[in-house]
Amino acid sequence: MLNDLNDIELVRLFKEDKNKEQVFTVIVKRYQEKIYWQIRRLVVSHTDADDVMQNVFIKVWNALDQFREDAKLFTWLYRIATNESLTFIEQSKKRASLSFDDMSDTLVDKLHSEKDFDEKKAVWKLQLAIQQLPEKQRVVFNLRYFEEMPYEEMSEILETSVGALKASYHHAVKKIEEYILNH
Amino acid sequence: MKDDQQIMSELSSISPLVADMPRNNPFEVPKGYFQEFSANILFQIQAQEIEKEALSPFLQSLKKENPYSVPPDYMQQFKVEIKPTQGKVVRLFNLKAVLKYEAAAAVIGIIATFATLYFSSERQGSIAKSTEEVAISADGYALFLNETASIDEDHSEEIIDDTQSLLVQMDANTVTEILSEIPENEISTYIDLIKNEDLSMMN
Repeated sequence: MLNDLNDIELVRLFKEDKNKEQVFTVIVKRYQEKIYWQIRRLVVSHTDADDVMQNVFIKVWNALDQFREDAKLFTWLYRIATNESLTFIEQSKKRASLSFDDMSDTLVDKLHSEKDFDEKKAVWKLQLAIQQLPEKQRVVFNLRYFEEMPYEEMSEILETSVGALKASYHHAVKKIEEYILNH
Repeated sequence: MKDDQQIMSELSSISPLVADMPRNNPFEVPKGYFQEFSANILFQIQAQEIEKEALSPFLQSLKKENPYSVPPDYMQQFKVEIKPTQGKVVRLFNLKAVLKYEAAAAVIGIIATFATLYFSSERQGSIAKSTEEVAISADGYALFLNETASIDEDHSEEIIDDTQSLLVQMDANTVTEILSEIPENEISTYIDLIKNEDLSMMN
């Protein structure tokens, strides 16, 4: 029965402390896969993605009471997931810099250690190309290419203008093309 | 046009190569991960709540109670009054700035005047010196000319004396005797030669 409710109704129930855990479970089940894949494409490994997933949904539990209903729940969740992923990458970068490693290499290494990885296969080559992109372009490319998200929605999540997002996507595609042609 | 078609045509226009790449997901997720995730996360949240309560039940119970009060209808009546602000008035003719420039110009003028006067007096001195030199040299030159003239006169007298010393006083008989010794044809040849030389000089 809770599954039939829309996001606004679920949030209202959560704020009213009515069946809070059940309401939260419905929200998690509704968006977990989309959020997971957004995170996974950024941090690459499942273990890291799981860590970030837990951080994201614990934050959602703690902040859902303050969630303003003028925004979409889905957009809000995506924003938290993206920020948490980037924070995770940033922290990993700092750790890598302490151990004189490069984070982009670490992400590529993580790709190499994925099951069934074969750099000759186009799907993996595309993943390798994505890892060469700067963070912002990587996020924009993933949301547009894999999630097929409209620029307007992306603009709300990333708090960036549509024009800037279009430019980022264009640059990302061109860089990926160049990488694929040269490798 | 649907969103996915629009995205595809956009991608094709940027890079047909990337548009033709396979889109299947190469990553794997452990079996049952999504089925268990919501339960796992709820378990963690409950553990977090228990931990908070155990840490300080008193603070946890106070967490949602707000001790501050707001005057009745404050939120309804709250308005932000924005007074129309007047832009900063900037004078086109700033007297202070002009005075500064005037003072600077006056100082520069005074320095320039003194410098001109100083250098011009120095220059006049140098001109006077040079005229003195010219005057001296003119006197010297006059003296030199006088001396030279006297030298020339002496020298010319010497020359005249020398020419006079070359002249030989002879009477007509002696000349006739000398000429009688020279053959007549040589004398006529000499006279013709002199005549020819005179003619060529006249021409």
